[in-house]
Amino acid sequence: MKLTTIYASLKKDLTFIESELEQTVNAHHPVLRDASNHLLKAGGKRIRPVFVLLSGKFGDYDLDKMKNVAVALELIHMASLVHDDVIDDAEMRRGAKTIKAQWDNRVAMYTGDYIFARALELVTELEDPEANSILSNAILEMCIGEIEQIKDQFNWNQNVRDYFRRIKRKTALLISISCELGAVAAGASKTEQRYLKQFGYYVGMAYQITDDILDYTGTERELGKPAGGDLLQGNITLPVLFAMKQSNYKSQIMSVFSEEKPVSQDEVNQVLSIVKSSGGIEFAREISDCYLQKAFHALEHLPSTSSRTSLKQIAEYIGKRKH
Amino acid sequence: MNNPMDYKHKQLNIVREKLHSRLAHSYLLRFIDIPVIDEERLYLFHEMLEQTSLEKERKQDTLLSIMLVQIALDTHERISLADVQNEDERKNRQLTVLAGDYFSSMYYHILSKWKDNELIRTLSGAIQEINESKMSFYHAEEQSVDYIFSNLKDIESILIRKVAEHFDLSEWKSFGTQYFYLNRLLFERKQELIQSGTNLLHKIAFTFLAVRESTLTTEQTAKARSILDSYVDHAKKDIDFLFQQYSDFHRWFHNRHEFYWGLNGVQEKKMAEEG
Repeated sequence: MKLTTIYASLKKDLTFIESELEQTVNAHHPVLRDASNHLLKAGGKRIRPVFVLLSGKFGDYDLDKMKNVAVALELIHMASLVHDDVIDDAEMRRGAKTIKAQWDNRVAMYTGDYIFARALELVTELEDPEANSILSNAILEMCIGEIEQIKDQFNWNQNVRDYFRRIKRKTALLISISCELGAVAAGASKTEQRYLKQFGYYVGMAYQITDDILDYTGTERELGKPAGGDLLQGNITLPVLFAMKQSNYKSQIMSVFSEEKPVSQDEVNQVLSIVKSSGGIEFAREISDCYLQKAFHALEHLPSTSSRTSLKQIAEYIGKRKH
Repeated sequence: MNNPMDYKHKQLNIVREKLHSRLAHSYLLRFIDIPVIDEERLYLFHEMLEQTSLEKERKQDTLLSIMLVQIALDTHERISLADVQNEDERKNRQLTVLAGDYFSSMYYHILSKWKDNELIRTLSGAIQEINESKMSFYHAEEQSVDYIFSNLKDIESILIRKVAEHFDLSEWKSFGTQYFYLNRLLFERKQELIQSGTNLLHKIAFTFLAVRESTLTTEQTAKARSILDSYVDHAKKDIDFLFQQYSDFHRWFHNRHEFYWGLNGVQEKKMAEEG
């Protein structure tokens, strides 16, 4: 099933959220406005707003309240992407030039800071002070996770536990709190908040593992950037960690990365083949499926509604997506 | 009776220590410069918050949060446009971006603990305005010289003005604005003595003298510098007027200012240039 089909029941509300996103980043300065809109127009799955809205359906759904959370979380995600592109020195994102490539690093820094501040301002409009507490904890953890990711680059001694902790902070937390805050904003029961938070966490883990698999299996057209980008940056993900557990594959991989010189795209392609031969992709898929099963299990504790069905369908989509 | 100066030093030290412990991320500090705590801003915000009825610990955390906002902004200002040349430079850039984000997340985290939605809103609004002003300064090619200097003043003072408004301490706005604006001008002037053709001088030359070349001639540099100096003189007169209010607070800043004024070499250089 396509994501657009799953989103159909939310189409009207998502259109509203999209226009709110545009209005929210409508800065006075033309370059700041254009740069903010540049990323917005490049699209994206809007998975965080969708999770906010669907989770809100388990409480007293009021779009005016939900919009602040939905828009804020998407903006926080966007701001982190803008800064990530400076960190990765990336030229392309979602098939379009990055802000740092279209303008420069300074514009990217100002834009990211501006968008992040807009997001926080929106969240303060929520009456429940718990919302800020949940979000601020998550953001702090996300920042620590990003620093850990740099620290772990080309660290071949890391283990699977390091990887899981990293992707939890990098991706799963924001998706988890999208579900939780959607439920909080709608005043859903504490039990529903807890299971939605769990669901988001498991889906987030599966989402990031799938993303990491796609870096090995996707084409440049599907990904909007060359395959093997993670490896080139020194980001060691689940498929390669699995391969490294086997001594014959480990020695082949280490022979590529043992030298001081930067790794070429040809060498990266060579490692991609080694990891594929090792069964690392299948292993990562199994783990991603395990997380999805846990996500489905969390959903079983929630009332059987069309929103629960949609959440399940999105989770299934995440497990099968190609980009 | 306790000495008020001892109390002040003690309070400032507590916040300084809290700040240091928040900033001291061992991995970050391996690759990036230790973030600088602006002592003058710390002192100013401390004095402002002393006028509020916040209880002691909350006052400390509020001061800590405001300083973290400034430090986060200053950290991101260090991101350069140049391509990185080696692995150390790459790491430095990556971690400078992340350090700014990390410090910024901490101000939000601290104020969320106090459930201080209003101050989060004020500070996030200030950050937006500061970034608008930074962008205006950065892309000010078609603007007037006055507009360029007005942007500089905003960049240096928006946080102070917003905090003053938030706590209903409007009387602090004028002094804070003028003092940190002049500080910035003196910094720019000092930079100009160290390296020829700074970013600001180029902006002045571009705007006022319609210079389109990337290198300024000696004559163009002198003209742009004299324009900068006229703004320095004007800002100096404004702050001298405010220094006439001889409270301990003003005396503290006056002494700092005299020290910098002597250090930056503007007077000596101007006298030499004027013969």
